[in-house]
Amino acid sequence: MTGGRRAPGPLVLLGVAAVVIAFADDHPLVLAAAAGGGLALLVAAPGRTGRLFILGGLVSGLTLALLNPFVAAEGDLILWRGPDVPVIDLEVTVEEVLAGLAIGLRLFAVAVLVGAVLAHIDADRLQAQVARIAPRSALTCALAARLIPTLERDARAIAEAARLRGVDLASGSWGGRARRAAPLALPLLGSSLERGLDIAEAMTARGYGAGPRTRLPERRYGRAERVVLALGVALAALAAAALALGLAPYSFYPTLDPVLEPGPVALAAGVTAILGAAALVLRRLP
Amino acid sequence: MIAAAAAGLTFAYGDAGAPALDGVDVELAAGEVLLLEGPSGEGKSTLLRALCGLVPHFHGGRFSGRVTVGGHDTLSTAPARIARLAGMVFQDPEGQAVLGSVGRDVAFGLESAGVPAAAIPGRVREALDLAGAGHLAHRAIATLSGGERQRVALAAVLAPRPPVLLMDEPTSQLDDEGAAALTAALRRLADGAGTAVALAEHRPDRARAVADRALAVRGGRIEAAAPEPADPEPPPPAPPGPVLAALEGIDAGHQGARVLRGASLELHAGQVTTLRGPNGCGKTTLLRVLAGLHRPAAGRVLLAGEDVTAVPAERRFPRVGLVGQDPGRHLLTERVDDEVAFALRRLGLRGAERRARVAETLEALGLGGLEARHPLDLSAGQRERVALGAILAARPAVIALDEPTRGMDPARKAALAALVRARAAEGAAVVVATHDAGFARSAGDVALEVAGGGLRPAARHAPAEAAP
Repeated sequence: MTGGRRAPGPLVLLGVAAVVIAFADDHPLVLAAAAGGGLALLVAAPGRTGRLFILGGLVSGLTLALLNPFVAAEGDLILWRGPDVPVIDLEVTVEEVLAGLAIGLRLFAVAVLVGAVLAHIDADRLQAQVARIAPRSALTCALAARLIPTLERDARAIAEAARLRGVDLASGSWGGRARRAAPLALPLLGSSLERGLDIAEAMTARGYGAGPRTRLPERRYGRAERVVLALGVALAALAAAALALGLAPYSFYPTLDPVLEPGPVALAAGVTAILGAAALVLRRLP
Repeated sequence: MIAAAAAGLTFAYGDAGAPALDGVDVELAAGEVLLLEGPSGEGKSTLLRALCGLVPHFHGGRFSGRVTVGGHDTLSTAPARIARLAGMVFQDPEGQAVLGSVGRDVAFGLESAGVPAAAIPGRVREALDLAGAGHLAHRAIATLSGGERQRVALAAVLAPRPPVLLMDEPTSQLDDEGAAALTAALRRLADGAGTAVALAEHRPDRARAVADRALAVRGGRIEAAAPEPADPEPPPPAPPGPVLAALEGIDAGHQGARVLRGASLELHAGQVTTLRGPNGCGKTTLLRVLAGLHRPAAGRVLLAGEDVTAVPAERRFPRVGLVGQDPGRHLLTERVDDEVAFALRRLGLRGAERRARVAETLEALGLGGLEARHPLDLSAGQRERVALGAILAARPAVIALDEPTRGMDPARKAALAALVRARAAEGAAVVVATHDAGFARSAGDVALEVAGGGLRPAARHAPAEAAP
């Protein structure tokens, strides 16, 4: 474990199984379980990188939820009827609204699951594993990932340098703040280019490209990683069963299916239990 | 046995008219520790880069003469191959980490050198221990302090056990005990493994005891090092004027960990107060609280009697001026004179008055003639002085400097000490956080130590400080 981060294998398995379930099943309970589990995993993650995924998932999910009633033309229970306009459907039904919310929930669930996996895994260990297949691409990605927090720190330091010289970046309208902050983009760009050169020089000085490389052996999985691996296997089995047996079918049109059917409830409970347990384990165990 | 040598080495960067190195002849023997002294920007870093082939391969420029490392001519050997013979530690530890975790980053050089996989973990542990960073093995680089990063950068270079070690100010961010441990470790490497060490230092006092030879690089040429200067007698302390700033019962920290607990401080007009203490004791946090960049969890900040605890940094301008660590990285404009004029424009100074103030500030900091240069084209030391000028030009009543002597040669340090004392004499209250005991002695009127979350008086002649 490095800085609270974990080996990628178990978490990627867990995340992929959860995403497969979120894509394969339309049932709102199952989607809610996947989203809730993803949020629990994110809360258990070190650092604050997950916030971006929550925000991105919310914005894109809500956008899709809002759009769906105007692009779908199905459902029996009419909520509102507007004038006739070509292309756009201005007859909004309860079914379209709920189907839109389910689509949005799926997108949100996938975003937080991806964010949670990325927030938990050790980028260097992921790079080392990808490097077995594509060494240069893996290193490029690792360097880009490493530069993001550096860039964040530089941006903060540049903003502070401006504030110490009287530039108010925090009050006034959003437009005003953006106008005052815009000139700081140029020094930030210069600083990031310089950092890139520094790293290239450091890599050269440490012999990168001199010949065939060896690899630091992977550490064995710790207790938490072993438990998460077992939970990932269980979730993958659940995903396979859901796909094969069609455990959680759900139809929004023409009328809504009943929600509390045994199959979907069991699947949602399984997803919640597995992701919740994984979050607990990642938070508590070394 | 000669491990590395330069003969008739002359080198000029890009379009630069004057060469950075001018006819350098130097030999580095196996088992020798060579100390390189000399002013900032006069060729020490360039010489070290030439000894590992980065000059001219990575930087380009006009190169003549011959450099050999382990018998290999650096001009006809790729620098990545020279890396197996000569390891280089750069000035800025921030830019040297390739990977995100300490263990992986230290392993990078071993992987590049093709060290068998099974041997890598042991070599990583050994190098980290040697650099005094064994406790950092499982940390993420992003969470390390400057001093910790410097130790990790050193471990990364030590791990492949190169026969030649080139080190550019490796102690600049270490406290005294850390620096002493490092130089002792270098001596052991030279004696035990026969490693040849070339060490560029602006604080030669930290390395002279372990060095076999000391040379100076001045104007791109090799000269004999000047004898160690006698410690100057500190000036008599200035009498305190009225209190311009006060911190009362400050509690502050990061992510739940309080580094300051009930810390109180008064800064008087006319006096320079120095803060010392090991890495991570809260010096930087204290200055950030004073400047309004860090909101304390408890306590009050007063400026000339006014409670400004809730007032953000931009509204404490121009009463407080803070120059933080590594300020040369965070300059805002594309010309040196614009950078210094930035704050003056905010103050509404116009035309001739502004130009005069800029010229006066640049002259005081030894930056005259660089007005039209882009800050990124300057040396690290010059950039730090530009950042200092950008704050001092606004003539803040309270001046706070965080490790201002990092990377400064002794002459510049003496000039800075004179400058801050002059500002204090004009009525400013100055506070300086520093690891540099010599600077603290020559600049300070009041010496304080940050310890246990609070401040306590320290002797003005305090020698080494406690280790972290």
